[in-house]
Amino acid sequence: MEHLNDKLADFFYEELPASEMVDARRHVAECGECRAQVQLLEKTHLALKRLPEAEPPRRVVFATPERRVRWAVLDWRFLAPMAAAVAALIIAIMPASAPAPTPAAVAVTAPVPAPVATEPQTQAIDYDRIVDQVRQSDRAWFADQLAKRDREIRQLEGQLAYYESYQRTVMKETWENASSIQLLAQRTASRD
Amino acid sequence: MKTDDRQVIERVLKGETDAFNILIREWEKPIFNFILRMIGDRDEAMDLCQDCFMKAYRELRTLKDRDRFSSWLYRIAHNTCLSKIRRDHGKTWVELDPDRGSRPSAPENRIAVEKALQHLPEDQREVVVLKVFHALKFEEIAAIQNAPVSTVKSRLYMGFEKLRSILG
Repeated sequence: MEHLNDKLADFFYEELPASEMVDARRHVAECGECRAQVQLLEKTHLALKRLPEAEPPRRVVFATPERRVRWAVLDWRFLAPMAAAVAALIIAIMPASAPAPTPAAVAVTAPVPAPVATEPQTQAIDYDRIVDQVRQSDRAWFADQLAKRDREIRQLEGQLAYYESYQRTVMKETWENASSIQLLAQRTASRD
Repeated sequence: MKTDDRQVIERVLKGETDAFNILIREWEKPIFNFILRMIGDRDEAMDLCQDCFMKAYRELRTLKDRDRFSSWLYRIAHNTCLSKIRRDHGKTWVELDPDRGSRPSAPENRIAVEKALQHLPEDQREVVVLKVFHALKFEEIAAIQNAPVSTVKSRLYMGFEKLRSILG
């Protein structure tokens, strides 16, 4: 067999047809030149392969808005205006070919800004200025805390949307499995 | 357990939008890592990853062979990266260490390899990433890059050679 040349990568990644793989293996075992080439490929491949996979910093979630209908509202007095509103809505969204759900991405926690430092007083005490500074500092601190909580809430909302969608999927799959099991049991019983 | 992409796709196309999250859960990490290795910035990669899934959802109906969802998704990710790279053409994301002559010691090795990878031309980097980290077949990579299989292999050889020359 000739040297592997352009089939080297196919051999290394085992993409040669089975029969050619056998011949190539035999050839590499005998040919030092090809073996050295394969080892070079392997060395580079392994150096790269050792790099760890990164975890996405947040989750991509397709969360369709919940549709909560109050059945009490479906009184005949409301049906006509509701039908008109629905018709208007359908006309408004007609050009869109497929409804695209909004993905609710989990917010990434941003670094919190450093707290505001107050300058030391060396001259006559100006209480108004101190009070003003303290108030400003407090305001900054509260704004910062508020922003931090907002970020946490957004993050939790994103996670909640993710888990809710996951739960819905699992419940649906469980329901389908249960139905299949029931159907199977019925068939078995009727056979018996 | 590996999800049967075909079944999930059919559920999504029947109107079960939430089922698309199953595909996202399965492919989010590989696609994110692919984009990250192409772009080199985590936040940017996350945004592009999200764009990629949005596009996949919108165009799911155009997917002819539903058994080849992953290749199709990588193709979308490829196009997303390419657009980004073209938009940012001229910017340099990662600089190599000025001291390239010395061989990196063990703790530095991982960072050196990451940097070396970022230094490859996009087409070579993409082949290396898809082959080494995502174990795609040469034919699949050729379909993603819209290039002959022989070109894909050449890119892999050239990419590997360049990595070796950078890493010493």
